[in-house]
Amino acid sequence: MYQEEFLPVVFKVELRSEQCLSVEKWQKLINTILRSYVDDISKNEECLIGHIKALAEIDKANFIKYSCINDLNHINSEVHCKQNNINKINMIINSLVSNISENESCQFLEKSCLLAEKAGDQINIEIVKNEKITIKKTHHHKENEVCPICGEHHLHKD
Amino acid sequence: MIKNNRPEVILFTGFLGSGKTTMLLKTIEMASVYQKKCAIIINEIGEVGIDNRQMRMLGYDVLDLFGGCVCCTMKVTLEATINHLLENNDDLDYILFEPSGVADPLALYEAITNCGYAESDIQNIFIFDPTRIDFYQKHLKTLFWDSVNLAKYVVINKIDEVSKERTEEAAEMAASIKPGIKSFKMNLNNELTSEFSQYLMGKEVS
Repeated sequence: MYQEEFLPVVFKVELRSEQCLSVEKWQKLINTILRSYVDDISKNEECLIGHIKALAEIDKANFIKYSCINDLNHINSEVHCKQNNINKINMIINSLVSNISENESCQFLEKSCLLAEKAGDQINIEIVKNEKITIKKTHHHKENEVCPICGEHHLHKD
Repeated sequence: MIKNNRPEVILFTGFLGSGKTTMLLKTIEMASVYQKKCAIIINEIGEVGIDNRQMRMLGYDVLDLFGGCVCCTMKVTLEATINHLLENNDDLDYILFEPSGVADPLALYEAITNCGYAESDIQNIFIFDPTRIDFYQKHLKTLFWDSVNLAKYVVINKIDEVSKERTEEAAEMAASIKPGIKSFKMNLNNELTSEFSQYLMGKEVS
């Protein structure tokens, strides 16, 4: 219905710090990055934010999830983490915004990351480009059967 | 009526960012309390889904519908997925389906009814974000009209972020399209209200 208007752009971002920082510190830092990104997008009135969400993965079971729908509302974040101090986070951002190119969106994110790096805390942030993000398939069919969902012939481990 | 003890299909509709995933998680938690078995189907547009990754990290197994929006390119896949679940899971109580927030809800019905369900069997819950009333009125009129018309209930989420008047306005918007439709007002980050839980799983909890 609106899938032509709100084209999804996905970013993979790697955040590292020289010293371990508290999860709360990371939560605030990523919030600052996303706030700056959202504010830059919103400067163009033609750009409508459908939803910008991010999953900051700490490890296989721990994460911080972010959700933002415009520049007026605060960025919601939910911490699901038992760890205290960490020095690395892999983050996926899914940005659904109208009237903005992937390149322009990436430039805004790069600028936001750069600002965060300069703010101190000896943080290194890298937006990973040209890397296919793999998705684990869990289609629940028997081995050697054509998958009824994707219509392909693959093994469970594929 | 649902035939042959088929699992009930609960469909969570609503625009991007309205709270569908949070609603889905709350429903799973509630179903778990009552020891009900659920299948979870998520359709997210984008190269990588955030919601299904989150679900997996929480320990849930999710069927992804990737590669496009479920209301158009993925319609056949949805039908295949539901049929696959029905054929291979005799003990399912619920199929919980979260379509993409840009999907046309009407277009989803054909795939579900092709699996033997009547339209009236589908528990379609429309989740409405009252912080975006103006956005809906300006940009999402068709989606709003179609969604409310098909919905059995409306959940007005994020009531902690707007005034009571704004919440009432949201309820009135829904009622103006479908007079008499029941609206539940809540903040999905908290617990589901007991009244809503009764509506959602009333047969099981009574």
